[in-house]
Amino acid sequence: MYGGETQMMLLLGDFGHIDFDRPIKMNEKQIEKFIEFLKTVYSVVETEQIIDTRTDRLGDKLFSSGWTADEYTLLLDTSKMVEEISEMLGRTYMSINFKRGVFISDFVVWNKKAGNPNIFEIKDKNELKKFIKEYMDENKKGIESRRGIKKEIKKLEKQKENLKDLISEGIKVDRQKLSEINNKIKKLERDID
Amino acid sequence: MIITIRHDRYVDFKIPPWASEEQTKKIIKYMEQNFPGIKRREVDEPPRYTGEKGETTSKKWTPKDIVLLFSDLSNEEIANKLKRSKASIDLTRGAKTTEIIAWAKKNGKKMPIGINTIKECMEAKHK
Repeated sequence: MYGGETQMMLLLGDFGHIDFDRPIKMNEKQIEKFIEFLKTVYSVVETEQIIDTRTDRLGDKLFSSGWTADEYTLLLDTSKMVEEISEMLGRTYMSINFKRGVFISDFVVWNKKAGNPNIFEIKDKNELKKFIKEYMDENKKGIESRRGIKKEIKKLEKQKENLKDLISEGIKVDRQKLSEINNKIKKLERDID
Repeated sequence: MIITIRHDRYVDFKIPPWASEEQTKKIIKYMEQNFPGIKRREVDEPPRYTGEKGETTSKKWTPKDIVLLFSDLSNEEIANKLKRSKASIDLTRGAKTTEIIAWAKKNGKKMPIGINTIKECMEAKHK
């Protein structure tokens, strides 16, 4: 990491991405100024306090990160073309194009189910952002719940394997239990779908 | 774009942002002015997924196809109906719907978008 004494390196990727070769030590004023500057370059600039710094750098791998409510709101702004949003968010044309299609699809379906007005007719950006946040919360809960179910299935599969091992070794086991486990697994798999 | 800040004030990009040529110039200028001695290094980025072979043959989008993009069907359902790949719907839905909505708003067309507006928009764009 830079402490001021080593040479800093700005990495410029051939696909247009930018990176530092290591995190840069800044004082409070420099941080403030840097963020203010970035706000003149990009439309959505947020900060995040972290414990561990990133070790992979531009060129090491492909990077991806989650989308914020502000970014999603911009995707729905029909007055803006993909190229424009790409510059505003610091994301590639391809990623905006792709995300716009996927997000609009998911959000339209979710929005209708939630009984909200047509997303393209909502004029109040705050109202739209509120729905987007609800959608994001629900998605997050869905992911967490699916994760929990998968864990439970794994546990049951292990129990099933153990019972099968006992059967193959000729040990008497309660076969009813095996069938119960199978039914539970099937039910949980349906819940995931 | 998210800037990460560690407790000891080490600052970083959460992930490397993309920048247009103009933005890149601006960032380089800022960094060189505020962090004297900073050097530039050009980096080869890993290749991105550009689709499987055979996915690129483009099937023309008709107004009937496009109207489905405005429905409340999921991308998967539309892909099945139109016999296109889900990736092609993912890529097209956002661009086409926003382009047509922007045109419809500009030209005072009624919402929600119907097949006639789509036809008009396509004709206007091809003039």
